[in-house]
Amino acid sequence: MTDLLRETIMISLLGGGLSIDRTAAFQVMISRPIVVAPVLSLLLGNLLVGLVAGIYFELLFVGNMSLGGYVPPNETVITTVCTAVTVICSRWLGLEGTGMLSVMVLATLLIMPMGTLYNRLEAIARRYNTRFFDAVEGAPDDKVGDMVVRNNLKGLVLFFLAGSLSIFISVLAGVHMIYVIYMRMPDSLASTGLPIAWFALLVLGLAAAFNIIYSKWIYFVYSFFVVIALIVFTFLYYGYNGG
Amino acid sequence: MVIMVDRKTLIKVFFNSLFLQSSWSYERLQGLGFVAALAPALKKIYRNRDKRRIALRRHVETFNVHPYMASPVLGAVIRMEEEVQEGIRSPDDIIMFKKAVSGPFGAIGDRFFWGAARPLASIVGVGSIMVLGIYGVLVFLFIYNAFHLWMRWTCLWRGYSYGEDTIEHIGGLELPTWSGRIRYLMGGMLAVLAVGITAYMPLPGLGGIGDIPLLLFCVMTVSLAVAIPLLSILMRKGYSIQTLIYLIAGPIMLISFISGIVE
Repeated sequence: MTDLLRETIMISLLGGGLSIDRTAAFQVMISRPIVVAPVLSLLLGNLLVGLVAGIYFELLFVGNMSLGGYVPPNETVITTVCTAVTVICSRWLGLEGTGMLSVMVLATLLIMPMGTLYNRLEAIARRYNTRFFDAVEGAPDDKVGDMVVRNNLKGLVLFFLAGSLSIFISVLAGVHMIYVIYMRMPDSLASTGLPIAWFALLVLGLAAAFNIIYSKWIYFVYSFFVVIALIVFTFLYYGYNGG
Repeated sequence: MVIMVDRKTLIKVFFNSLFLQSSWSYERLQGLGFVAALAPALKKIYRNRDKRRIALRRHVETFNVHPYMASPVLGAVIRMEEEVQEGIRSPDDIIMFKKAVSGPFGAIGDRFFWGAARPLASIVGVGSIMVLGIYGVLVFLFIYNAFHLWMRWTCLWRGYSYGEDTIEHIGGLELPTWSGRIRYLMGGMLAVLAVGITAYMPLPGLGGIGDIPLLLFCVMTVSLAVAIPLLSILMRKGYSIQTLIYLIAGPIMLISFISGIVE
């Protein structure tokens, strides 16, 4: 078995397991990008990528809310795939610093549309889950008690499979695609355009966080704290005479 | 009033409630998860197997609530089941209670947990990672889970203590008011984070705080601080985060691509 295949299987199992926490069980937030990316990159041997990716994707997806039957794009799967692809491609290409940021942006742009695929697989799992319910409803009286807990947990397997399968396919495909694209990319794009785009998307993440705050005085509170923070940072780093 | 369910059984219910959405389906929602969480308590309440089966069947129905807010509902339903067993309440009351709280508790939970508590923990977590590195992840998990698990357990216990009066208890917590307060706190923290990002995660090609002139630092910070609410206006106009990612990254990449060709 090649190293890539071994790593992809490990990533799929870990990502699929963590993605269960998103809606199916626990919901103790181990499925959030801020946890998934650092843990995964620690295992892949490049913690820095994970910390940066954790901040980046957590902010981009901070406003994702599962409301009623609406399930937003699966941030766990997207983060897992993008982080894994960034770490592996950076290793293959011998990239550090802004080079890694470039790969991360490419991965984001490429993987994001696949969010629809993940949601479809999850939707299949959710439709199939009705069968577990119907089985309990139609079970003979003496078996209802045993079936209730067992059938409820069967749903977990489907969610795990949906997550793992999506990650497995996307990582294998994503790594090769991004490697090829990056190798053929003009220098200006790789060294300037993509790192600037990364920073712009980070700002977009902050905007996504701001978007969920819809209170009357929020602009005032926000502006006030920007001014205070700016003054504090200025005094801390530039001193009283402005450096 | 006889207490039939002990603390140990409630702990089992609490543990099972963590799997409330394991078999979530479009048609039945959390129906199976709810009855699976309730099962240990029903086993304690109904020693007679036939009565227990009837009780289980009663709860095999469509049900949906915010996953954390299922705790007070579970607690209250256990107390009401005890009253049914004692013959002082009709089983129909339980079904009506579940239907009555499903919508409001769902809305309160969505607004408070998904709309305020979790984003706040995320912002604190992001800030913590910038300062503490990998330990920031632990800060995020501790802050969020210490609070939310305590809340889930307390609401289950109180729900069991108060029965259907748990509605007043949840109302008394004033979670919507707290959501508003948390949002103001988030606004303040987001402002600090925006300045921190300019300082510690600078635009590629430029130095961080201390390396660049003060005026440039101030201009960059203010520009970034203004860009954040402006971009959020686009989101409120209906642009999804996915669309905006391409709308923002696309032109930047195109300009740098063209400038590379020109050079």
